[in-house]
Amino acid sequence: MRLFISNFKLMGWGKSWLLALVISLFALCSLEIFWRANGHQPNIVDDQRLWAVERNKVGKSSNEIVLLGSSRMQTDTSIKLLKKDLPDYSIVNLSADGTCGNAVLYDIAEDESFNGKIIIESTPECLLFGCDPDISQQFYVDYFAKSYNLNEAINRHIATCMQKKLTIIDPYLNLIKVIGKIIVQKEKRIPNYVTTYENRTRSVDYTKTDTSNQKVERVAHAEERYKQLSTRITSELIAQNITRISEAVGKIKHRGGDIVFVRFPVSGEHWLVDQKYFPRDFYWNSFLKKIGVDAIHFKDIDEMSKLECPDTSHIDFRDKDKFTRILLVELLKREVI
Amino acid sequence: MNFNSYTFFIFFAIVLAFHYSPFSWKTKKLNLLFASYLFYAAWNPPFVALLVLCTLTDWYAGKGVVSSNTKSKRLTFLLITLFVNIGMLTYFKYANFLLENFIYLLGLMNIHYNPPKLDLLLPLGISFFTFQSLTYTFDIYRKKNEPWPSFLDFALFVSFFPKLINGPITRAADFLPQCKESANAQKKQIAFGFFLLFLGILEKTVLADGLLAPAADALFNESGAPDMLSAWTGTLAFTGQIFFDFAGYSTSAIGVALCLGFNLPQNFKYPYAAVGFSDFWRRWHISLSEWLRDYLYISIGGNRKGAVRTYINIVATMLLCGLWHGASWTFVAWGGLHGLYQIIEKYLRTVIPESKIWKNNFVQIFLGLITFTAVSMAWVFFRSESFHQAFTIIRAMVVPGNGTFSIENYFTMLTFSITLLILVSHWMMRERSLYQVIHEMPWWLRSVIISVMLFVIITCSGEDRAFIYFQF
Repeated sequence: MRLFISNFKLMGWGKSWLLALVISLFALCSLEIFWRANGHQPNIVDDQRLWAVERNKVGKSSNEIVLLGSSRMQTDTSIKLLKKDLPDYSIVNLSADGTCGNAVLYDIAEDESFNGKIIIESTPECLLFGCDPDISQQFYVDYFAKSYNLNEAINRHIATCMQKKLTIIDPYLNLIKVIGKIIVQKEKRIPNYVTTYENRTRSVDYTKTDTSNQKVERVAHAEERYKQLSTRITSELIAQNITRISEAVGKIKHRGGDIVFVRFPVSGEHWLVDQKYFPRDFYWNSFLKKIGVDAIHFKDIDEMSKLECPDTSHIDFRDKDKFTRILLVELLKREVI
Repeated sequence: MNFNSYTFFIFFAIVLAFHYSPFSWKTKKLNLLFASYLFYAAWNPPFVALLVLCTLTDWYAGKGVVSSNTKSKRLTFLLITLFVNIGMLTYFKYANFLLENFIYLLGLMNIHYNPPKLDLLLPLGISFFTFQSLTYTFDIYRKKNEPWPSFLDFALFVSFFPKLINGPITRAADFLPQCKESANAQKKQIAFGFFLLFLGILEKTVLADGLLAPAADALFNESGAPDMLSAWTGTLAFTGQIFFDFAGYSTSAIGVALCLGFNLPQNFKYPYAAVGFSDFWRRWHISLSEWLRDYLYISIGGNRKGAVRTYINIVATMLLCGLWHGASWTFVAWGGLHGLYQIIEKYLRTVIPESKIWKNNFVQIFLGLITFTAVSMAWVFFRSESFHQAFTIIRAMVVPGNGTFSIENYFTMLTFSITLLILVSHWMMRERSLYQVIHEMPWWLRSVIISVMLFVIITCSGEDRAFIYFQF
């Protein structure tokens, strides 16, 4: 068998590596300065490993609050403020964008070490179809159960440290994508309007982006999706979901924990479309009543319902603290916390 | 632990520090063995037991073969090791596949049997380390080698971490002699080793994952029918992706081993410049094709029993080659297609007379392009989720039509440009070796190349994906 190397006579490698390191360091520093000068900031990449780092915290504290749900939980809630106002609590964020928290709820319900509080951001769509493969968080649950280990954790911690410091490793600023955008759309990369933090929450600055298209697209997407989903609703499906969620809630409460379902704000046409396909009275009020669980709806809280969602679905980072405080007051009032 | 992960660099720094500390050679080998088990355990600790089982089986089977005084006893020891190694592979990799086919066959007889699917986790690299370990007993059985005197060396051979998960499939006869004397690499070997490590990472993270994977996914993750241009774009993208993904791992593995003073076999030799399919398999995954040739093809008769039997042996070997890659009929079809290609080539060689014209550069390039096109079309079966998808794509590649989806022009431009670069570079490097080219280069040019590599790895890496061959 032919081995890779024979008659090894390579010269001048020391000089080659030394100069290469100097050149690449210079080039990387220059690029870092360039991005920052153009308004870009380091950003954390939210992936299954970062989710698993959070999941690993569940059951480690006697006083814990687990946040579940989708992107609204990530963008609308300030964990910094929650930690400040609830210093005795450990806050774990297991929400993930584009998905529903049902699978994680069922997973935590089975976790005997957990007896804390769960705040789950949900919608009628999630209550009924949250386990559909395209919007289920089962992918995260499986990764944590089967693949997450010490090696993955260390890797992720190092990646987080690097991502906090450097813009050049942000996938948003990946040069292949940046050059592709210039070639295809003749546009240069503008600073990202979404900032992700280590705790997996996000701040969205809608002044940095044009929301008019986003509004139209979101509403159109929601309408198309709801139209399809509404044809699948049967009394059997409703009963199945009520039973499954009730069982999970029962297990959590049985261990001394508690759970509250929260409908986060949406605005304008988005709300109208929601109501058209999933009327609140039937798909939220009576559904959760049958489960026998505490629920908060943004329309029931005057201050919350007045919050504006610039893209119809998420609030701007400037309203984040306000929203979190309103939510916290409501949770305290209901003695969930 | 991936070569392109942060933890690998920490791990490797520690391994190098130990390896170049003033310990005895035996202690260094123990360190390497421990590091290799740790490397494997970083993925799933309990599966280290499989490595140990594999090591013990072949170690004692090798001894047993030599100490046996009759042919049947020798054969018994060989069968024991085959049973353990292939049994392990079959259980973890093919159990569900066999079960599915069994259920299907029963279904044909109107017997409805519905057992639950086995929830098995495929141990990383099991196809590689079992094949490596088998070479030891096979060679002793064939009286090509003697049992190795040191168990430590043998255990290190089976589990040596650079080649453990994705090859190159190294033979005992190539690796074990390197364990005899202290394998401290020279400084320039370490420097070249790091060059190879980063070159491999560049191939994987930038070329495979960053540039080509999105176009390949755009074709193979869709369920509809593509238009003709999109079918070619996605197929060529996967053709490039799988090369950079796998060759990238091999290059890094060779580099890492070289830093530790070990020389691993070459696994790729510019395969997309192959002229003919036998030539392709002399250049693609060389360590596997040579393994299959020496331990399977020759064992079942090779070309010693007439033309028809040779053709049957080629197809049987290639079908098993396909099955080795994955537990699915689409992989078998991919292997079968390569078997068919080789039979056609072999047959044409017997009917077309030798002529100078075949050596003409333009004819060679033309034949090379035919080979490349046929190889690319075969990759469709390798990557497709089902035969339906594969045939839909193949049909779109040969029959013009509108299709139900198309791939963005940007990906098409990118894929065709990279494909052209691959073909030109492979053709230019066809009869040369990388270290020859690097050796002839002025030192400052090497610097520029290394700095570009490092810069591009950091700023252009694609989405984090596992190496494709990890699943095999």
